[in-house]
Amino acid sequence: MREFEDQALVHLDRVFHLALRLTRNRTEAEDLVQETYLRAFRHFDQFDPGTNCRAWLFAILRNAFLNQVKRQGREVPGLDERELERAEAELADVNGTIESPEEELLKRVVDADLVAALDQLPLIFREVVVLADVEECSYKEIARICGLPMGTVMSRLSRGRRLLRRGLEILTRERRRLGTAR
Amino acid sequence: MTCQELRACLGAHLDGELDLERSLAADEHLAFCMACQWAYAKERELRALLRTRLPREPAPAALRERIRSALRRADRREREGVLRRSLPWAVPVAALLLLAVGIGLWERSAPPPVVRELVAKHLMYSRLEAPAEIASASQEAVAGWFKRRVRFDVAVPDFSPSGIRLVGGRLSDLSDRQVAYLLYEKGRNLVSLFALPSRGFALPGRGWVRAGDGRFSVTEVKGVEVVIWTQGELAYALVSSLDREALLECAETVWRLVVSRKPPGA
Repeated sequence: MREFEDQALVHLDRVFHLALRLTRNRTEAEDLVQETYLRAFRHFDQFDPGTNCRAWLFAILRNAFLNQVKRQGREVPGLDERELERAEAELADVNGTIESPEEELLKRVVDADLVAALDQLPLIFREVVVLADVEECSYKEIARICGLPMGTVMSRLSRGRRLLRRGLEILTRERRRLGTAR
Repeated sequence: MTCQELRACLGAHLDGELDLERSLAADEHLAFCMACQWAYAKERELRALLRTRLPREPAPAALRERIRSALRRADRREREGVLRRSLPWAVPVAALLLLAVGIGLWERSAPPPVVRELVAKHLMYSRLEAPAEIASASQEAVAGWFKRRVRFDVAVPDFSPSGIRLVGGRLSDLSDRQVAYLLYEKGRNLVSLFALPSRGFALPGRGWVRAGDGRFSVTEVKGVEVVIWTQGELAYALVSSLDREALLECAETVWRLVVSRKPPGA
C-alpha cells in the first residue's frame, strides 16, 4: 500500500491530465482516474519495478477509458474507418493551406484555443499527440501504451500534428476575425 | 535524403526517434534546404506550444483524497478477502485475540491447563481453511464417520434451532487422549464440541453452574467461552466466542441428547 502510493500516486497530476484530454470532461476524468488507480492497485504485482510507472498507469487509464466507451455503446475510437477517412480528407485540405503566408499565426494562439484544438482531434490522433507532445513519452512507450506498432505510432503522430496545426490556424483566424469585427 | 523523405520523418527527427544514420542524413538535408528548414521550425514551434502553453491543471485535492480512501478501502477488502477465503473464522478470531490482549491484562488467575488447551485447539482450528475431516451438515453422516474411528459413541447434537449449523467432524487430541471433535458455526463463529473419555481427565475445579438438569464448568479465556462437563464415561467441552448463554444452551442440548441416548438403567 505504502509502496504503491510512493510509486504511483506521485503521477496523479499527469494521469489526471491525460484523463482530461481523453474524456474531455472533468467529472468523467475524475472517475476514470479513480478507476485507473484502483485497477493499478489490484494489479500492482504485475508492475515491473524497473520500468516507467507513469507509462504503466497511462496504459491502464487508456484501457479503462476504451472499456468505458464500449460499455456505454459510444463510438469505439480507432476502429472507426469513417473517422480516419474524414481525417484524411481534412488533411488533404491542410496540405493545401500549410504553406500559407500566415506563418506567424501560431504565435498568436490563445491558450484556450490550444485546448480546444487538441480536444477536437479524433481520439486516435489525440491520444498519440498528447502522449508525445504533452507527456513527452517516447515512441516505444506510446506503442506499448496504445498497443500499436511503431510505424502506426509515427504515422498517426504526424497526421495528428498536421490536423492539430490546421485546427489551431482555423481557431486563431476565427478569433482574429471576430476581434476586428467588434 | 529527398524533401519528401525528410518531411515523412521530420517529426521523428525532432522527437529524437530516428536512428543515427537517418538522423545524420536528415541534418545534412536540412543544412541546405530552406523550405525544409522552415517546415522544421514550424514543427518545432507547435511542439513548444504544446509543451509550454497548454494549460495543465493539477489533479484536484479532493480527487487525491478520494483515491487515497478508495485505495485504503480496497486494501482492507483485499486483506479481509484473502483471510476469509483461506481462513473462514480468522477475522473474528483475530478481533477476539486483539480484544483478548486487553482482557488478558485484567485477568488475575490463570485458567486451568485443560481449558487453555481447549482454547488453543479451538483457535487453531479457527485458523484452518477446512478443519473438518468429514465435512457434512448431516448428523447421521458425521456420527457414522466416527463409529469406526473412536471407541466411544459420539452423539452429534442438533443446534440448528439456535442458528448454529453443523459443519463436520474430525479426530483431535487433548492431553494425549484421542478426542472426537465436532465443528459447528454460527455466522463466522466457530463452535467447537469436544468429546473424550472422562477417565483421568482433570476437570476444572471452579466455575461450576447449573443449567437445566446439568452442571457445567464455565470459564472464559481471552474472549473465548469454555463450557466443560462430564456425563457418564465421557467428558464434553464446548468452546466458542459466542456469548455464555448461547453456549450454555448448547451444553444443555448435548446433555439432553446424551441422557436420551442412554439405555434405561445404564
